[in-house]
Amino acid sequence: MATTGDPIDGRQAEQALGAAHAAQAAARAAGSTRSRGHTLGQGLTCAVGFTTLGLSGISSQWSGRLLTVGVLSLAAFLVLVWLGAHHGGTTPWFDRRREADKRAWLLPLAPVAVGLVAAVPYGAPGWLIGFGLASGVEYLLRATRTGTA
Amino acid sequence: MTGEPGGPPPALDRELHHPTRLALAAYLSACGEAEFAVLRDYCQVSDSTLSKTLSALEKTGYVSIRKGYLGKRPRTWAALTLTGRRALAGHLTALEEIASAARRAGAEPEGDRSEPEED
Repeated sequence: MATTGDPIDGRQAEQALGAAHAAQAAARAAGSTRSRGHTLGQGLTCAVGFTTLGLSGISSQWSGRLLTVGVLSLAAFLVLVWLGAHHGGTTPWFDRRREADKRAWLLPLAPVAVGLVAAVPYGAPGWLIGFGLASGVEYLLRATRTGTA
Repeated sequence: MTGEPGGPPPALDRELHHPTRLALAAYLSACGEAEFAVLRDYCQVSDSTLSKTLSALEKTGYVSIRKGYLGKRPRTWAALTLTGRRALAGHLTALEEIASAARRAGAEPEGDRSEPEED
């Protein structure tokens, strides 16, 4: 790191810190704003995708069609995730020091736990269905809580 | 530069000293990556100035630049590298130290700062 030899007084340091914190706040605000419809769309495609994949393993008669619907739904889900991440020209960044971001990390683990519980009696299809439904509910909660994700 | 009395002065990073560079690095530190137009609008600088600033920060290894397309439109994305994040953290810490040292100096009564008289 090249250090500056320029003297800097306390007032200048305060101003620079203020500007830096304002920039960080602006970036966080830009990266966290999502429309409610977008979050609901993500939840719907995620729930349908994983649930139909799980059901395709149970139903032999509809297996092919359910698999197609599942794969298409998950593809749509990934597209929505990518679009959401690049919405507004700023992708979000997880800062583990902030309480809100701890929620953002921990909440998505709930569907994994639900899936694992469902996997005990029903195996892999149970995990997929449990995970899909719980993810859908989790996205729904996110959408209803603040209108943003 | 004001630092801890007796200790080495806080190390400010020359590459992040300029207000535009600091704002840019601070903005990028709070997001994964940001689009060129977003950074230009936030920093309120011209395309040319931002391009030069980003190139300079990329040369030091603080910023990575990615060019791509959003649909058919070309886009440039910038992200702060790990080196840049560390450098910014160090720079902000140094600024904090300078600011808090100045606050302490301002809060101290005049009598506390004067040298004791010897008889």
